Amino acid sequence: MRFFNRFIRIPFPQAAMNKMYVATAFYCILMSVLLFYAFSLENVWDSLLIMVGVALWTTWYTRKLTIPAQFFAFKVPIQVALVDFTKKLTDIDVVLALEKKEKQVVLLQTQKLEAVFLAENEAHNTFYQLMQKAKTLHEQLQHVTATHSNDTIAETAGLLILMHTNLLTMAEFTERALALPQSYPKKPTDAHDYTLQIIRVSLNRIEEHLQALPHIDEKAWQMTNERLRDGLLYPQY
Amino acid sequence: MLKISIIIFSVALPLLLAWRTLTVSQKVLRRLTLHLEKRVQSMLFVQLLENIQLTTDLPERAKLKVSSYIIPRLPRYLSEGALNKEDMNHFLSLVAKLQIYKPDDLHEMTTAFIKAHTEVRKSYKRPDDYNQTDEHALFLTYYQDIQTLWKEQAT
Repeated sequence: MRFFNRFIRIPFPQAAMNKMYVATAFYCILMSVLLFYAFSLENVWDSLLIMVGVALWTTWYTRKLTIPAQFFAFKVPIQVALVDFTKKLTDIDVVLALEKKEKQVVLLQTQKLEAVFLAENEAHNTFYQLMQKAKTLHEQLQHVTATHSNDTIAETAGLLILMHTNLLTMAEFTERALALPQSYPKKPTDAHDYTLQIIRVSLNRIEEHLQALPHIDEKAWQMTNERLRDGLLYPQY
Repeated sequence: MLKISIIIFSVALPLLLAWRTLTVSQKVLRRLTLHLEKRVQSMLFVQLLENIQLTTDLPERAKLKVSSYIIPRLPRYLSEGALNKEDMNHFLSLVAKLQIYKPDDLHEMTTAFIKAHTEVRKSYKRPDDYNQTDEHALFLTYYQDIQTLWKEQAT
């Protein structure tokens, strides 16, 4: 099963390069003039002095442009793209800034990004929807097992916990794997959809049983348990 | 002639250096952005997963995780014939019931199993190193323990 189907892409911040371009133009013009002046001088020592100055300034310039801790500070608006496997869905405005001490760039004002990401997942991520449903069912089942002492219902509650935790653990593993530098999300296959369908059916059954609750249909609960167990024993992830 | 070459030199040298430096700084910025993308993506996923966790209590969550340690290994044990289908179902139902009735005892038992299993897995370097005998023995012991615990709970 694939657990995530919405991803973000941060474009290259071209605006962050502006100060560097200005510095480069300034550097090129001034260096050319200085060098030319140094070559045209009669006195060798003066030329050498200018050359040393040129070397020092060049060092400063290259360090300023290639070491993140010494970059020109920038704070530029960019548009983060929200994508699924095939196409771009929306652009979200955020601010990209340089964190000199940490030697990295950070995103500021990410509230909107988080909100949009969450809303997209609530609307389109089947795994997320099903797990939220499982969470609410788990709360109801906890309540029911506390009041009724029925082994079959207890088993359903336990199996639901096992299934939910197992899937969550795998989703966390996927999250960590996707955080590695050379890893990319893979598209879900029909097998994944099938697994999600099985989970959906068993959750719906549990919901139906819970709605008819004062009356306990032992056989129906047992069939649901059977289905849940099969989901654990014959997985298609 | 000398004058012309001096002019060319004094213009070309800074230009070349500046071009190289700009390329490098573009590369550095691109890499920083990529790292940022991974970090932000990871943060978003973690928030998403946080929303669907069963509890907000971290020790409780760790206990749940321990209890599901055995689940991904069951299909393999089943296909290798450590237990037949009925026994496997029985095992799962017992674990599920104990998960509700006696979570603390089950957690203790599972922790012991995980400890022993980690010892066995320490020697796994290649896929061929998979030690079926030890794995099955451990699993069957765990099954026995679970059955004993269930009998205790039933009386």
